[in-house]
Amino acid sequence: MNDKEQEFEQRVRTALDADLNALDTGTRSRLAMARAAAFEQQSFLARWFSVDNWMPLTAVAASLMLAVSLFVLRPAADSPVQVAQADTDVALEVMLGDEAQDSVSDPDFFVAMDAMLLIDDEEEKNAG
Amino acid sequence: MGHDRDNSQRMQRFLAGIEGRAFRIAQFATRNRDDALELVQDAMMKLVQKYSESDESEWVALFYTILQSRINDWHRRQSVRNRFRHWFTPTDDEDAEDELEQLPAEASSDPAIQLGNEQFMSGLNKELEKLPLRQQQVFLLRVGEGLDVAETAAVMQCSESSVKTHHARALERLRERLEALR
Repeated sequence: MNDKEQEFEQRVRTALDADLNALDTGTRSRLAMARAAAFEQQSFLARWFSVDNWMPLTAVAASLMLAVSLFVLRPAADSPVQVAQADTDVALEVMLGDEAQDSVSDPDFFVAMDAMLLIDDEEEKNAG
Repeated sequence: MGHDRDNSQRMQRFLAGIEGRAFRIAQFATRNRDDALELVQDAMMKLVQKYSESDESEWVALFYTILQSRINDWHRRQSVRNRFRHWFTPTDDEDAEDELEQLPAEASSDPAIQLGNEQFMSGLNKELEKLPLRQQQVFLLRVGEGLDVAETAAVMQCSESSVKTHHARALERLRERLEALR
C-alpha cells in the first residue's frame, strides 16, 4: 500500500470515528436496550437450566417413575397364594357370620364344611 | 460466582464499546436501521449466550463472525423475497450476478465535489453503500474495526487472499470517487 492509499485510509478512519460519535440518541438507546436484552436472556436461561430449578422437578419425576414401577410390577391378582387366602376368608365368613350361629350347634354343619374344604383341596390339586 | 459477575461486566463493557461500530456495519449492509439493530441484538445475544466463557481476546472476532453470519442470512432472505417480487413484476434484467457479490447498486448519485468533513462523510456513506457487500464488509472490518487480514478472513469465512483482493478493490473504488472531496 503506498503513502497516498495509507493517507486516504486514515482519512476514512477519522471520518468513520467522527460519524460514530454523532450517532443519534434514539439509536444509542436502542443499542443499550439490545445489550440489556442479551444479558436478560442469559440470566433467564441460566435460571431456567440451574440445578436449583431442576432439583424439585427431578425429585417429582423420580417419585412418579417409582410409583409407576411399583404399580406395573405388583403381583398378579389371581396368584395361587391369593386364591387360597380368598377360600379361607369365605370359610371364616361362613363360620363367623350371624346366620352361622344356629348352624354351629348342628353336627351336620361340620360334616358339610369338611366336605366343602375337601372339594376345594381337590380342585387345587387338579389345577396344580 | 464472583468470576461470573466479573466476566459479565467485562462482556458488558466490550459490547458497549463495540455496539455502535457493529450497528454501522449492519446498517451499511442492510441500509435499514431497524433491521440493522435487530441483527446487532441477535449477535449480542448469541455472543453472550454461547461465548461468555471464551477468552476475552477472541470476543471481537467471534462477535463479528456472528454478525456476518446474521448479515448473510438477512441477504439470503431478502433475495428470496426479491425473487418472489420478480415473479409478480417481471423485468428484462434477468442476468443479475451473485447478489452477495453485487448487492447494492443504487442509482448512482454523483456526490458533489466539495471540501470539508461533512461532505466527505456524506460521500463516503454513499460510496460505501454502493460497494458490493463483501468489499464493503471487508473494508469496514479492516479500516473501521482495525482487524488484520487473518482476523478478517476468519470473520468473513474466506481466504486471506480474498480479503486482500476485496480490500484493494474497495479502496481503489472509494479513492477514485472520493479523492475530489478531500
